[in-house]
Amino acid sequence: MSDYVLTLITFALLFGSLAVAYNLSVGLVGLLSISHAAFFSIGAYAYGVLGESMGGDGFLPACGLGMLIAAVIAVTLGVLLIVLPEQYVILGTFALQVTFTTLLTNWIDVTNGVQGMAGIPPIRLLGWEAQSGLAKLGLTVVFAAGTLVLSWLVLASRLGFIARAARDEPAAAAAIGIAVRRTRVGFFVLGACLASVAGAIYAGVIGYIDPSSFTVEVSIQFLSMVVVGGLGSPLGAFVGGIMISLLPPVLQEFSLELNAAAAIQQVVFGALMVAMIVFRPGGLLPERRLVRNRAAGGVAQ
Amino acid sequence: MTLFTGLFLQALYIGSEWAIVAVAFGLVARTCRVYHLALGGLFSLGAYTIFFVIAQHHGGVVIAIVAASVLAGLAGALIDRLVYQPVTGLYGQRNVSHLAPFVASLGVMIVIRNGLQLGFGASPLFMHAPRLGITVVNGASVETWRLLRAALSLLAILAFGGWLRFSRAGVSTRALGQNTEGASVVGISETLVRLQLFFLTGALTGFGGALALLSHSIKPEDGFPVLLYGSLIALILPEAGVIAWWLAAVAAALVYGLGVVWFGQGWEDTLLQGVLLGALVVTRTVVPHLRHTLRRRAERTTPLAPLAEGSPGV
Repeated sequence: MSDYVLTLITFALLFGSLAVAYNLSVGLVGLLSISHAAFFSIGAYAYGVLGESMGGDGFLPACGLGMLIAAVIAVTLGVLLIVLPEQYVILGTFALQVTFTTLLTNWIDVTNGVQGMAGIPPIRLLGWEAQSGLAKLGLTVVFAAGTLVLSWLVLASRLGFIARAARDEPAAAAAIGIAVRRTRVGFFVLGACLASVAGAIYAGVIGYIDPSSFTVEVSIQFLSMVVVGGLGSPLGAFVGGIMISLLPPVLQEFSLELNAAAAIQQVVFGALMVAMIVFRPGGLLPERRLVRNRAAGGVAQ
Repeated sequence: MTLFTGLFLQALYIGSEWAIVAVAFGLVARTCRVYHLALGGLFSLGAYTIFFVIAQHHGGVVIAIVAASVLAGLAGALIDRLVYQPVTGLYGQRNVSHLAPFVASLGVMIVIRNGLQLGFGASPLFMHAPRLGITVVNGASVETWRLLRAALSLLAILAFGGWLRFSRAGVSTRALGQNTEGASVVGISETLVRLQLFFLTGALTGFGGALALLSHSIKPEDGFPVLLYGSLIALILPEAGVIAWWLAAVAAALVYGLGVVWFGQGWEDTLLQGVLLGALVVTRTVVPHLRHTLRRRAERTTPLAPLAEGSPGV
């Protein structure tokens, strides 16, 4: 398998798992945030900064630091905005995303501004270094599997039922004692932490990061992955993430000029989002909703 | 004093840009319960249309502005008809996620923004502003065109407010916003009101975008910050009128200008976003909570009227 194909698969898996993480907040508890690229950037820059001084061994500390910062921001934002109606949450997270892009561009001492950070070392874990394309792919396979398993475990657990109750019937859920706001903030934080880890892996795999990889459009791209795949469905989000991330290389096959290819790619993302919402609101692989099977007299999926 | 006057004059013309989007966003949100995020794209569409008419086809400024407004208005009406109405279930009661309209509007914004980039390239567009000289106010000098632009924006907003307040269609729009079922009972056509509203708000936004390109360079993505500031201002004051939104936008632009003075170029957006987010949280959580607490305290301290002789239970 050529290095190019390995790289494509690696990024497809990484973005697929990122979509699964995003699905935890947007799909499972219905908290539409447009700040996922900001959380993704936290992990990436944490590894970019720590990797400079510690080399590949900086990965685990960067994951810890990134998750801590992402959690603090997500908790603060969640607590402040969760009491507001949905539209305020969307615009609040939109503002956070735009603020973050400005911060990454202007905080030159740490982020190196628009020049970005180059020469980020490959990730090293317990003496094993993800130097080759195959090793990088292995690392993302482990992360993708971990994210999917975690997501399925959460979905199948009591926590998953609580989350979906908080999303679908918040008033009824609150009436039976479910802490709706705390549940939604909790899932938002979990999604943010996983995005931060994905960011650290991204930086280690690609070796170069700059603010253009973490803009509001990238956040909307993550949203399109989940919408296309299926809101609330981990497998749907994963498939959506893989499909959307494979779109740029497919467009490259048409030998388009770089800017035109990027614009066409975004037009396709936007059009897919609209088409999906209008014609297939559940996405490609819709979430299996709980329905009362009256004939059987029980609850079935 | 000169510095403050300069900042205030700058706030007038920058704020007028945001005020137009705030008015358009706020009215659509209040009337149709739709968060019309595609307005960011329509703002850029207005700017690119004026460039297309003047720079590429040598048309006049007035014709170009009218064309930009009409095109953005038509695009707004089309977006509602093809995207928002099916999604919100107006023409079919389908069980869609409550997030669907937001996602759809984001999708439309992305399509417009990148469609413009495909057609005109990613580089910023720039056009020479009409040369009207310099005006000096209290020692601060400003291009007369910029003041005229602020005045034109204010006039457009006032005209829109006038339409909403005094015209029959405007009254129907307000009625729909206040009571959808009641409006339907008295024979107001929701489809027609939506068509007018989305056309007019689109045209207003396109007009704002067209004026913006005559004042500074515009890139396809410049609709994002304008949409963000406009929508936050509209949501901070959801029940306000058009004048209040205009004043709030000018105040926000003043904070933006102060950000440049205090923190230097590049940080003004961060400051303003923080201030607007803080204001949103305060006005939507702290203020209602305080109001509720004060009302309850007042109820507690008001003595109960003595029961009259012969009342049940006496």
